[in-house]
Amino acid sequence: MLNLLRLRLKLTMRRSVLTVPSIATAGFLWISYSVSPLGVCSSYLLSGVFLFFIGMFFAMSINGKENDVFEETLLLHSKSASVYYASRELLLLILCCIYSLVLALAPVLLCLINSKLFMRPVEATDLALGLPYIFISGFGGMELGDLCHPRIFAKRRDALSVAALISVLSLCKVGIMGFHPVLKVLNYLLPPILDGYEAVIDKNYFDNGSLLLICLHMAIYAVIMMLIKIRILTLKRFRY
Amino acid sequence: MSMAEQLITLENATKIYNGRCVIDSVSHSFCNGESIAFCGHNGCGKSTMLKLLSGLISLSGGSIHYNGRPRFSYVPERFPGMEIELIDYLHQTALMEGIDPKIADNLISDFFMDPMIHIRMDKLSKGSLQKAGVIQALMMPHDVLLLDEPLSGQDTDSQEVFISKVRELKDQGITILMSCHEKRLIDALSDKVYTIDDGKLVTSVLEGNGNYKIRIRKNDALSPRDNMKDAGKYYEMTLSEERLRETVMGLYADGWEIVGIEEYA
Repeated sequence: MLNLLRLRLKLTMRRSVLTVPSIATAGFLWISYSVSPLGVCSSYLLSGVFLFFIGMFFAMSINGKENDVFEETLLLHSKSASVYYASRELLLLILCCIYSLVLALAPVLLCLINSKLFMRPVEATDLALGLPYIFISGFGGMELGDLCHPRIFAKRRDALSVAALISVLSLCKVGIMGFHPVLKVLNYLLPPILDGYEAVIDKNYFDNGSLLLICLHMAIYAVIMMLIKIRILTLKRFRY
Repeated sequence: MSMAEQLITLENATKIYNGRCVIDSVSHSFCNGESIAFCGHNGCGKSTMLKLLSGLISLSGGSIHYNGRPRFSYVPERFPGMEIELIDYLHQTALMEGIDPKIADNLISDFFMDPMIHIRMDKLSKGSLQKAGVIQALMMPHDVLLLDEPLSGQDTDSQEVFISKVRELKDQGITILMSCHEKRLIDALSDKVYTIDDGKLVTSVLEGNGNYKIRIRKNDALSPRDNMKDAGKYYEMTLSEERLRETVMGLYADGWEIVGIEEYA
């Protein structure tokens, strides 16, 4: 599987799929940290939301560039379908890890350079909670983007519509849930993109328990998305 | 035909694309070690049949059963040009298969692709890409070799190399399933030929035109006959069935060594 993963990484590096997310991340960091003073928690939470959307875009770019015939040969060269699909997931995890590290370490480095940038110094606990939060948010976004695979949604327009609908509903689910008690089911169906903001005490410190629960919620959401996607792809197989 | 010999069995296999029934309730068993060619007009479902048999695409109806868990090697009809150097791709593929990348290097040389190894695959010509597709499949042939128009775009020398390599695999007992139009390839490799006609699998009998090609080893001590054509290490003669026996006897009597006789279309 490692050799298949290495081949996937090489292809991803040589395609233009990395350009837009990298430029967007640089732009995000530049804009976010150009105003001071900033809240440490809100910086990490915003990075999590950002990586969710970038991850979604990223996964859709990668799966949109997949060539069916090439993937067919890769599947046949793999020892099993599980190895083939696991290599796709590992690629997403690795990329998510890289972007999470950049986004999580940026506040630490900036705080070292300019101690007045944040309302309080960035502490080790912030990094210990912020990094997994950003990573899991990014992975949730990537899984949602990868669910919109061309082998699942034949028309790109449909895939984009589904991704946009889920994202918009997730962003405004708190408001929607207020309309009727039944709509509280959305809390379980949609990814907890903005829920992290409820896990901040006194606007300055993370509530560890609440944040870990939100991370767990997003992780479960991402894993369910992943399992559904792999099941559909395995059943539908290739298009032609 | 015993059950043990059967490798892949289709039962009422049906495939529908955009409302069109490409494969229509086909029931058939393919046996281990067979070499089969699928013929038919463009778009009749030859490639679809290969992909159905390998499980790459799903059935719209019916079922498919495998004896054990056969693995497939696949030469696609059009191998895609990816954003990676040829050598890089083939070496990675060799490592994925758990074999020495030198096997890929040898095949690259056999198919005259040494000058192209550092060219990105998306910059290669159609024929070169097709050869890349052949190399990736032949470097570690599995239980079943799927060949989808394998010669398309390849130069004549590479075609000869390909045929001899696939013949070796056939002799080793690897099952070969091929979609192809070229009679030369069918004659060289296939034991059975099926035509896909209106979604159905029809047994075809490839009839020759009664002509035979005789291949004779060159012999400096003998002067070649007028109808002997130079073919590298050999001479070749083409003649009708009626003259075959008489000519062969005559050649032996003169001291020539005959290395092969094949029906010639």
